[in-house]
Amino acid sequence: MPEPKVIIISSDDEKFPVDVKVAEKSILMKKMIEDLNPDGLEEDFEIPTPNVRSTVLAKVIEWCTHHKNTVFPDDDDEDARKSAPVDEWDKNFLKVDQEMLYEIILAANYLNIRPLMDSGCKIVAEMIRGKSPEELRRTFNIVNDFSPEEEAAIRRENEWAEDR
Amino acid sequence: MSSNNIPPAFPLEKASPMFDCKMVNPNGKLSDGCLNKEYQSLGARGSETRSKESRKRIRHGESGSNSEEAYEGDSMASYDDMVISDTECNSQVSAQSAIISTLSSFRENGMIHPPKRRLMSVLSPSNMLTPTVGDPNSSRETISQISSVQDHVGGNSKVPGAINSPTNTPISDVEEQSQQLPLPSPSASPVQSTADKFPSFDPVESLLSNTPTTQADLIDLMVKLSPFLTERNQNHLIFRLLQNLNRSSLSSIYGVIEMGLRRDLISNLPLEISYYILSLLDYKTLCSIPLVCTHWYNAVNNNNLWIELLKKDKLVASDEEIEHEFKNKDRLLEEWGSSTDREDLNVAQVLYKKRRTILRRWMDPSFEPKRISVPVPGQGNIVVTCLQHDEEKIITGVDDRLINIYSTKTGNLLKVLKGHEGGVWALKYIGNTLVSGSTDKSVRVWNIKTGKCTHVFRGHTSTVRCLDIMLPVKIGKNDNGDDIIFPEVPLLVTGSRDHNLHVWKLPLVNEKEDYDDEMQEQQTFDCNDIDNPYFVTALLGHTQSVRTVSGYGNIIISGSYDTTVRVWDLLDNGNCNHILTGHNDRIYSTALNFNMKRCYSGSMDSLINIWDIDSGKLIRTLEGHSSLVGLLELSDDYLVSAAADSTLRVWDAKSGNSRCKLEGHTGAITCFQHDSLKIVSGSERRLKLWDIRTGKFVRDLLSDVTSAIWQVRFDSNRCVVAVQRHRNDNDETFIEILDFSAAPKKQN
Repeated sequence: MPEPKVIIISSDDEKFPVDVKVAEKSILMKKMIEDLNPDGLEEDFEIPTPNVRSTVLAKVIEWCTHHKNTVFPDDDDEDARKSAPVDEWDKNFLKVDQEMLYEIILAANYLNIRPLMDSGCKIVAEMIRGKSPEELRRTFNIVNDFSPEEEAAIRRENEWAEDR
Repeated sequence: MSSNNIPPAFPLEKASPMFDCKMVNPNGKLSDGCLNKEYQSLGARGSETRSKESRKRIRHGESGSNSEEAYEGDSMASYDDMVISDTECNSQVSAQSAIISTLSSFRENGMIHPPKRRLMSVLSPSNMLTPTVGDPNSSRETISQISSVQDHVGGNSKVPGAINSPTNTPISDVEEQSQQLPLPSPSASPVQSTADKFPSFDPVESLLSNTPTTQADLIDLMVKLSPFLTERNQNHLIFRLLQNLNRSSLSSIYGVIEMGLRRDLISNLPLEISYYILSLLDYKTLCSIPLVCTHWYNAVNNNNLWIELLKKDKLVASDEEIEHEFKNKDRLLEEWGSSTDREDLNVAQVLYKKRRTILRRWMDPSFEPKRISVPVPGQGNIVVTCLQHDEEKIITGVDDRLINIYSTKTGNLLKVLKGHEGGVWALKYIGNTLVSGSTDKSVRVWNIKTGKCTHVFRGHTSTVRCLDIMLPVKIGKNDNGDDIIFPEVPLLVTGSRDHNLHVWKLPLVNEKEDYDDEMQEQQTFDCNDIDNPYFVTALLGHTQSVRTVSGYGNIIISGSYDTTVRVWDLLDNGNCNHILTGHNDRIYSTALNFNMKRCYSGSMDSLINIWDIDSGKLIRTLEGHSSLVGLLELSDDYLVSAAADSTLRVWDAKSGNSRCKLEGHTGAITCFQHDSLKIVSGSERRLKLWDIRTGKFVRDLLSDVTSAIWQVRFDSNRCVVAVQRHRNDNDETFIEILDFSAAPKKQN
């Protein structure tokens, strides 16, 4: 008999059958599987993810599948998590448009997949790091809503940090 | 072969559509698309993400063509239920307001779809013309709007700006409503039955009735027809169109899409996530962010963010340090805040600016700190044997029997503590309680506020060479999970040339403001006196001078000229748990990490040993120095050793791996201190600053010392040094205060 699968169902009703090991990368799903199958999985188990659309869910599952054997730093060890560099594979995996990156981070947050969230956040941090305000506005399509006076004042407040 | 390298001219030609642009339900009626979108807007109006229910139902309708008819009936029925209950019973305000809000949403958004006709039909009964709900104006407007729409039926349509985003229903011009009135074909659906009351009219047919003759007309027509597809099929249509595009066209469109998908991630993500992202950034970037826009300004204006960064960048050593700085918040803001008077100035950010600026000054060889030189009173060759300081005071022990207290800010000599009859060789204070050990064999406890000696502890039979204060700390948990605190009261441990260590209860000065301690008389206690209330125990075992001692919790470690380090356990009545043997010459320095259960020893044999204090085993021997390792200092990350070979070495505190070697001094290192960023070290005539992370020499801090540097201590603001200068055939001793912390001049 084949191993029972976890069937993850996207908001648009796409069904993704995956191994338990893959699904358990999500702490939310892991808890759900454990709570509702105290004796272990005996048959296919459906988990709806009403906040995640299929294209995003497919990406998230791709990540979980790739990392099914990866050991990550303890969720509670924030320093270790923050200082760890982004995994090369994750870096490529997250080379996506900003909408997708946004939705992946939200999905990782909702599904409680801390390492994926960390990678996503670090990618966003990389997009921000070292950029001038003007570059940041361009990168994130933001409109400068300061008056020239306000802008000058804030610039003075922060100029100490510039290289001298 | 080379042809393999030519990319396809139509890259998507053979691609297969992903999930939400796959075609579904190809036999679905054209009305489905519009109805579904209609339904959707009921559930998720104004929200970016569709409610799961509406999405589910939509999907439900799309899945499997078998149930298609049933679904349509179902869906319509539930839709009708709402409408019917509304028309039948005005008291069902919620249902009615749902309809009205839906209608007004159509009006606001200009979203018009075939089912609109159904809604109009619902509105036609007279009871709907006199609405009973809260906002009659809006419903009247809606009604009049809709009747005006009816007037336009058959009128010319404008070019619609119909753009279909995945999350919004199509937007089109109001006049376009007329074009999208009911569909002709559907069998016996309720749409049809209500539609019968109106002249039959098919928007698709109407659209197709005029054969397009120009390019613009054709495009127009296609755009107008596309809303009759379900969302997924619209995506599929666009996918199919993209398949016909060559690389260049795709690239252009890709650019447009990529730009369009950019979004303000910091403002859009949930707060805790954007906070997390910001906490990954460096201070320079965080100082660039406030200029982006108001929202980003506010996101960075967060005390916790800067407190975390202060700690991460090692600009503060502890929470207490931050607390201390925040106590004088107003002054901090006044001195280091910017000249603009924004009221939302962030204290932690200002503190960060202060600490970062001061650190830069330390590290900038061209920056001259404010300097105060204070001659040490006395004649001839005075050796400053110990030095400790804080923001207010500098306390030095000298070998001529005196303890001097100076003001840190002015350098003024505040007090001279007299009492010892021999040179002071060990000294430490906590709060206003100072303890000192002397060649006169006594230990004295002083009240710093009054400058008076309160207790004299006798019992050692030779010079008291080293001492440590042990405060109550958590040393573990008991079976109930409660913290075990040990020692119960503050203790003092003293080591002497008489080979012994004594442990005393340390009588702390009463720190309460109103406590009158002027009256307290000096009392003397001898450890041999049975009634002595302070003496705890003697630690006997070393066979030569005790040169160094450290205590924490229940553990005391002592290093002796007898070449051993001993581990004493106060929970076991001061029993010697382990005699650590391995060095083959005198021990001069030790360091203890209680939590790691480790201690470190530096010896005349030029080695450093790392020991496990639980097992008493030697963990590792650190080789490198070529003569006496006289000084050791331990922090969380680093073990720093200083030797008579004129070098310092930095080791990884955990592994013991060598990190760097500091070369540049020309004589034995006499004193040094380190923190997480820098090391200041002194030897004959030189006081040097090093970057601890790279091991690189940064600058000489004093260049006019002609003789010895006895002692150095520093904190984030200042460096305090005891030096000797040779002048006119005399040696003169000075306390030098180098202050890097001057507030910047205000630019107004």
